[in-house]
Amino acid sequence: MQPVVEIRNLAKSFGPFSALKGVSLDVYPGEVHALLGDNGAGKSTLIKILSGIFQPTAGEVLVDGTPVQFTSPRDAAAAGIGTVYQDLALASLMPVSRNFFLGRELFKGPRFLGILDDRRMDAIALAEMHKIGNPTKNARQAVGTMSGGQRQTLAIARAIHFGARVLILDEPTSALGQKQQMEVLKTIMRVRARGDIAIIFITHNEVHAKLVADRFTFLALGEVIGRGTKADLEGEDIRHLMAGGAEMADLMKEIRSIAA
Amino acid sequence: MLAKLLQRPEAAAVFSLIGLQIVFGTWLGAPWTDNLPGLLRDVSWLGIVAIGQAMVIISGEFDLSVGSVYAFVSMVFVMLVQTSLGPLGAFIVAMAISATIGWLNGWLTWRFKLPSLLVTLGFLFVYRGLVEYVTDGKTITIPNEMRSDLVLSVLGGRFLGMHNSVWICAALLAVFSGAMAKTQYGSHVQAVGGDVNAALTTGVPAGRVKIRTFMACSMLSGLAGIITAATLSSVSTTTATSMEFEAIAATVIGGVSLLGGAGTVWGAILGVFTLLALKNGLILGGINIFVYQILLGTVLVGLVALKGALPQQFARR
Repeated sequence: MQPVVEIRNLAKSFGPFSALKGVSLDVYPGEVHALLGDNGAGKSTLIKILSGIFQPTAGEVLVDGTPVQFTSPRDAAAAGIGTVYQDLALASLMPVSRNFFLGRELFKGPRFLGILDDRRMDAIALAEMHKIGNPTKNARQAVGTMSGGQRQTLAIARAIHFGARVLILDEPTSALGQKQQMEVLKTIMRVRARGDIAIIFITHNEVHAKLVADRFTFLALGEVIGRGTKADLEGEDIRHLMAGGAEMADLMKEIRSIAA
Repeated sequence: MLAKLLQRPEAAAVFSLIGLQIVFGTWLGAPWTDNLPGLLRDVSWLGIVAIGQAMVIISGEFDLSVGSVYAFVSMVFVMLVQTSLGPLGAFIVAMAISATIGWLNGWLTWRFKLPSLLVTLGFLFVYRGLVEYVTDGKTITIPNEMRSDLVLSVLGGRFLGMHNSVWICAALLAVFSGAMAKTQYGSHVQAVGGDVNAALTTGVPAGRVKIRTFMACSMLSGLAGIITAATLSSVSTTTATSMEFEAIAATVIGGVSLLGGAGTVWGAILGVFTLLALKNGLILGGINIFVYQILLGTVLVGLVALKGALPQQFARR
């Protein structure tokens, strides 16, 4: 089996500043690949290259083994890369199904009138969301009245429906309460269980990563500082790698000294 | 059913309107009911403008130039009617000018990321100034012998005892309500007004949507101006002064969110009806007309305060 997406020695500089210094990564269908790192590690730059917003300075991106060059988010979407950003790109005053099909509406009647087929959009949106979660039975509910986890489900279901074979989830659990976070993790596992979609799960919560991920890559200051499978990391302190090598014990000592 | 209506943003306008009808109907009696066709004519003039204003506000912008555009376009129409273009040619040219004015408002706002409040405030002065400059402060009129022309009588005449503007406004209300609720354009207007970044990320052509909405608004203002000119056969420098504020006030009373993204066109029309019913009732009741302005301001501030005090009532759609 070949990876859906493979990144080889990807680098990106902004003037004299190197945000990424030769990062390699791959992800297979039916796999969750956790990308961990502190703020400024280069996670965002990496996502933006994969979703066609930035062009890399060096290195290459392969989709199904073929090198690709994305010049716009549209290219990335056409290649099957679906990015679910932290803000989810949802209009909170609008109904669920209108959000699901925003910019890609279904029509009925003469096309030039642009009349929306709300009934069909409602049915598809609900069906797609219920495959990976159980968010709402009312497709006309305003998105703003749904919980954070339900909104995440909507955004993920939308990406899959519109042809994403690689899902990039940008910190999907970061702005949520404990219970909602678990909902999102369950949704991720349901998508994984389909077996045909590769997931890149960006997070800085090592507990969440351990719960759902098959493989891990740790970034710090634009470089890969560690990687491994679930088995490799059994018992290892991910927190140690997350903190960029600083000893947890040292940190705790420092924190205690401030408190005292 | 009633509970559902109460939760709608248009509820305030519906109940105020019913209340005003009852109050003025019992207090004034026949003079009030006899005045209703005249009131509806006024409602249709401001209403056509308010349809456009409501759409612009739902799209997350403001158009302060509507009153000046109304006066400017009706002046252009009255002047062109007397040339070789004739009434139909004058109508087409005046509407094309309205469309261009709207395009410019929208394009400047979107292209340079300017606040539309300022762009259209500027044009409020520009078009009002042009009207004053060109007419030199005088009232201009359509010559008597032209008033029987077909185009002028379609725009300014009557049908079934009602001014044609009432029928035109009703038709426009049906078309734009349908467009806002049921079409891709309407959905995109709500999306760009509610969350422009979400709209852009999902591929909504936000700039095009906003520019088209400004064009619709200016064209509706221009049309209302032409209709008034055809009805009254004259335009003066004070035509439609401070109409922009009445249109915005009506839109707010009708439940359109000033933050964009929510509200309906028919709500705005109900808002216009409420405002003008209040105004006409006070005039007929012999109360000093300046009381209207005081009441209007009080109602507006009260409504905004009420929205702040009862957010859960107004948050739902």
